[in-house]
Amino acid sequence: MVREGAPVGNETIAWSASCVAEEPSAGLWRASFSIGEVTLGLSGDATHTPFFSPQIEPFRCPLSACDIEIAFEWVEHISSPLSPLAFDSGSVWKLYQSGSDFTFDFSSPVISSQPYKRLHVDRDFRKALLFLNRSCFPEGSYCNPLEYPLDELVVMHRLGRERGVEVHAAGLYDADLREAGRGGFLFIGHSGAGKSTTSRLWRERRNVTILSDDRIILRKQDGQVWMHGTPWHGEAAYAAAEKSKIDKLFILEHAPANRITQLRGSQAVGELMARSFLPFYDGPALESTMAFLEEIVETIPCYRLEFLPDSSAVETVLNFRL
Amino acid sequence: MKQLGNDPVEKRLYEPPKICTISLRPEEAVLGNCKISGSSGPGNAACSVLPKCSSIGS
Repeated sequence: MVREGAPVGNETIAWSASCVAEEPSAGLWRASFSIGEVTLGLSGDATHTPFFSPQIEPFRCPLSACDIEIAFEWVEHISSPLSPLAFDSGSVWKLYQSGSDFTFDFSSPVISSQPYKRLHVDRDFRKALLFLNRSCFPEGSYCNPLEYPLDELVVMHRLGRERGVEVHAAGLYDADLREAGRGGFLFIGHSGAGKSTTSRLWRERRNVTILSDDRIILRKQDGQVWMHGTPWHGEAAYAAAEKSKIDKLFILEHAPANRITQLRGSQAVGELMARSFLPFYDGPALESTMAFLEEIVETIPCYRLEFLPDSSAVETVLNFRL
Repeated sequence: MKQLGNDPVEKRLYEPPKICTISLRPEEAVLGNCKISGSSGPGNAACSVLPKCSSIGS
């Protein structure tokens, strides 16, 4: 079924019928994923079966009820929203606040003057309606409803409500050091800081599993900080649906020599914050995330790693003792 | 009356105020840019869903 138009933000959204997590009935399809222990359920009309990117496939899970439930519908057009603009990403999405809910519009002038996709989501990031604009998709084309950055945005916002955070980082665990309780390494860095390079260097020299070379989700469990792989990999294309405890956290920087220095307190929180994905426009979630960053810094040792992009950087980390 | 030294919560060390410089990258702080050709997203040249868009990213 194709609905005429997507809600424009000033009308009541009927969440109940299509959003509630249930076993798929005849004529409906359902898919569910778990990323950083945030579960994401997507359901819609089986006449428009979607496809998902190969990157997200390893994150599929069999859950019937998820943390976030997204119901997906085709519409003939998407009008301009009437609710006030809360945030303009400067890329393909804008955020509008409609009452207590959020509306994300995805658009590109190359495609259409209308948004090609609209996500209407409740304030808790539990229930969402996703509208795809039929006029922006050529007849017979495949559709990936979770197409980046929607998947990452939804998970990032939910994390802000669950004491979690997504960081710009490479994470790996060294199987040969795991029993000694020092095998989990998190390398945080801006673009170009050496996350993919570091991942490759460790992969070539050690028995490691690389959770991601670009995006890692951090969660706290039983008093320890864990890192989770995500589908949103970097240049080296490492993405594993696994997790590991973190033993050391490094802020990466290229330098003419290898050097490790400890970071403490507000300096460490600031460095971490500068490399995190935060909901700047959402006060309570931002406050909760900042408190979580502080907890991370208090729980695991943080260092700055200035490094040369060769095997000596791996040795420097392995030989480092405070 | 509260007994000194009996508090089970360890007191945090006092950190005096100081100025430190943090390098910020506003363009990387917001999700949405298709920064690598191997990623999914409408800016990706290999994207089969939508025509190439203007979201090139960093």
